[in-house]
Amino acid sequence: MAAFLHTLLARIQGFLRPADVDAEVEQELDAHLAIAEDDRVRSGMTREEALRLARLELGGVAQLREASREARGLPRLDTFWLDIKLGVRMLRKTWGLTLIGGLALTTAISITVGLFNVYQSITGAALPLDEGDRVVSLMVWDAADQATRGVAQSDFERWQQSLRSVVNLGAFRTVERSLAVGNRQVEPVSVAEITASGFDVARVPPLLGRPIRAEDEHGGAEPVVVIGHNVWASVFASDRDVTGRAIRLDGVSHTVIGVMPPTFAFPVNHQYWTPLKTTLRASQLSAEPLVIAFARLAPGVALPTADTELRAVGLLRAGDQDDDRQARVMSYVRGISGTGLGAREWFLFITAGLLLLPPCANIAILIYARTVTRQAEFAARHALGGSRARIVGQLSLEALLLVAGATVASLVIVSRVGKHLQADMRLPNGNPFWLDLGRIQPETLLFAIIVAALAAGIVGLVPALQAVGRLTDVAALGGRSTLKLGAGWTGLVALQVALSIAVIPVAGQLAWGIIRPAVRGPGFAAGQFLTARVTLGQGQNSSLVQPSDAARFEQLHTQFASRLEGLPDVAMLTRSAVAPGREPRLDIEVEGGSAYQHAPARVNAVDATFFETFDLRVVTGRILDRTQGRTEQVVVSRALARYLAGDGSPVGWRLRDSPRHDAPGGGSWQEIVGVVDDLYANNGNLTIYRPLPENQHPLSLSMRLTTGRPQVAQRLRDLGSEIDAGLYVSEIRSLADIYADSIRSVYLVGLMLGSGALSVLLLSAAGIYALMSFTVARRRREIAIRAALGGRSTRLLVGVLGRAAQQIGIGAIAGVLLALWLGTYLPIEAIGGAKVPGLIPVAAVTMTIVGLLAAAGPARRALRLHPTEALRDS
Amino acid sequence: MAETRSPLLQGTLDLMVLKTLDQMGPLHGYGIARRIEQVGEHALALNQGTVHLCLVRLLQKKWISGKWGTSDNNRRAKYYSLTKAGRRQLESETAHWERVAGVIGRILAPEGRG
Repeated sequence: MAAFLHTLLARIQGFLRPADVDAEVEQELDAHLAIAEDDRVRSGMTREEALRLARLELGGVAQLREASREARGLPRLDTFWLDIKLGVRMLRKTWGLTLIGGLALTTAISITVGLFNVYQSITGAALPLDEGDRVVSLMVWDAADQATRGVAQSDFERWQQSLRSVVNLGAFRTVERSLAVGNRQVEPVSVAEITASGFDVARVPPLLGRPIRAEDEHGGAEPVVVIGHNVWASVFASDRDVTGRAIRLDGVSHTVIGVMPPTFAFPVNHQYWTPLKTTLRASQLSAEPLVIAFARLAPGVALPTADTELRAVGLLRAGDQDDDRQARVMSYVRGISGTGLGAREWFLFITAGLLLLPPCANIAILIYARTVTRQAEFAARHALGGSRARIVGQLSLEALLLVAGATVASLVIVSRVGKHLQADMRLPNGNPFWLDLGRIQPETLLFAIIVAALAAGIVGLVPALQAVGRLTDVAALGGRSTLKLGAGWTGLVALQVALSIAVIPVAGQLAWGIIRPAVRGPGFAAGQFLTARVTLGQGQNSSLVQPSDAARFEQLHTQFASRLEGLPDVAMLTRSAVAPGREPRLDIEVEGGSAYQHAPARVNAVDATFFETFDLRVVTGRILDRTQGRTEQVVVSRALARYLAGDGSPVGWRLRDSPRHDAPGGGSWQEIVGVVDDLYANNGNLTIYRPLPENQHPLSLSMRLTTGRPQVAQRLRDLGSEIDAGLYVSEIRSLADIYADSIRSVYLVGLMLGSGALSVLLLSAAGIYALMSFTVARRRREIAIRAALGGRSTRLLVGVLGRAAQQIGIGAIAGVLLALWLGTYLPIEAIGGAKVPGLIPVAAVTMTIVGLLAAAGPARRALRLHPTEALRDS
Repeated sequence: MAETRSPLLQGTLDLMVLKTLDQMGPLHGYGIARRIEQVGEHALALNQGTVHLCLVRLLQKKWISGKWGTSDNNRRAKYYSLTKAGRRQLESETAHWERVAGVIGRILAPEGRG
């Protein structure tokens, strides 16, 4: 190791002082020759003879000078530059391969790197605050779900008293309030109830007024609010005297005490901040997790130290059933985003990474075929002194240039698409202020470099090593390739054909499944339906705990619904747990038919009028009873029925939520009592409808309108506040909007997959073409001579094509079998695809035609060739 | 017909140069080449130029050091001598060579004489 470092240093010195190196080499060789000459003269030779012999014994002086200089410096950069120029020239010469290969690589790298970047942007981005990397969140980590949970207030207060490794420990929670300012219309807003330390952690001073202080947190303190820059501009017309003015939140007057600068949205995406009151905290010492805690690491303390301290302090509730739960300190962004890089994410990245394999393997085969045809050139270069490593290096550089170009293009695409996505994407709890999908994260760059290096290895290095394996062969120098096109080559052709036929239907069905909803639309007049979310009080997302609240909510939403039904524009109204089209996805277990099955289903709870309101026809069985609370029965969508039972009927089968791997049993079993039409005809969602439980909160109301959507939307808002200030109506949207939202981001993914499939198709066709034409071109000499000897051209052509057909035929049969096997065992619909009949034969026929055309071209050229020409060429 | 000269075994020139400097003390490039030829009784096909490349390698590894001086017949020449690291390397290379040569000798020896 020491010797290696010394050598490196010496070479760097030599590289930096080339003139010194030259002078030293000259002096030393001159001295050598002079001493040797003297030596010979002493033994009786003439000076001329002595010098001649000294030079002879020293060897070629010019080569020695060059070798000596090279040994003392670094490899010459100009050689590297020359290789790059040669590489670019070769890529331009074979522009077809460059274009198709580059396109396929760009698509595959974009998908892999893009997924990684989105994930990294959400969970691993740097916090854009002063020393943002020192801001941490203190969360409860649920090891079973690999997700973070909120912290009970009791735990938070204990941590405040005992933790030493963090400073400015604070907490917040997000609540929904109805905002009333002057004569403006009442509107629901998200408010961060936050401790005063939140502003210390962020280290951002207010633009006007003051932030929340500790004294504001006391129960008896006057209610105050800090507002964001956007609110200041839109609600208060950037009035510089805004401090001291009052706004009403939930009917309670709050004094505006400060305005925060633009872009400030700490802790997540907030524009209103009120103090997290201590009296409220004291009254809510329940087991419910209520707040999210944050802090700055104390000076000199590293995150693992703080984590160790917090784990030691632990949770009050430890010891009950929550053995999997642990108090942890983690980076702020990771804590808020709530997940780690778990097995599921890695699976996704690896699967996406596998997308790279087909294009890489295809390009590798094309490059190999091309390299073999250049064997004479390489053999000549080798004979003239070019080392094997140098030739392999140059061939690999060509591939590296291609992959590097594709990677740069991919990063540009990822950034552009990221910006586009950012504008459209709405995360469930709003986009956090640190989210910037258009930015390539440093980790993403590293990931892209690794992906590119792997791809370049497959694309360039492997074929280069293969092709220069037999450079010393004299036959190669003479231009006759020594490559034996035996069983291995037939296998390669067959494999290429087989894989293309097997992969194309899968890629096509996946792409169609994803794009179909966008191409075909929702399949019914979705714009005619309006949905709204109704919540009680502070617009909580969870169930109502207090029975009195539940009764009040029941009374309010019933009143609200009957007022709505009285509107002339509303034809029908129904209730469900969530708006149709926004159902959460759950893994369910099904018992019935041949075996247990799992399915990724979307689950909604609906009342009995739901199916009638949306005109969902009963396909088989019946719909849910009108009695509420019958929880053991479910209705499934036609797509799910087909997924479970094929052409049969799943009525009578039972299903339940999948049990967690670490807990015995799942939810209770429910019987499938009927199958109804799919609501959105084309998105293929596998939907389960359960009976709406009593006390459902929050509740979604869906209305079928006769006319006038805008007026009804306005009326909905007014009605809510007319009935009761505590009744919140939000997320008023038509089903057409919900549908458009659901397909927008997926559409982009589908487009990428579609172009990926198309480039695989093109590349496979090009691959088969190259393999076949190369195979036939090898036999040019034989064909030409047989033609010259009187062989009939049609017969020769049939012979050549017959042999090609044999190779393609083997591949086609294997490919069709593989495609059929994939079609049977790959749950294409479960992974988002849609069955398209006839794709397998289309792929098989296309690939066979491509292969035969590829063989016919060179064969016809060979037949036209004069035998003397063929003999001279070879 | 001239006696056939054997090519150098790969990697052995470094060892020979180190040993020569160990035995003879400081020497210039031509002196080292001549010495190896003499000891080898001209049986080795040694290109004197390759000795210079070998010296560059050993210098870079700091196994030898070089200093300009004056030769017997008053010519300026660079004299090379063994460093401590070079001596250690020589010892370990010699031991390794003896081990390998012993094994090869035993393998090549006629049966019964091993």
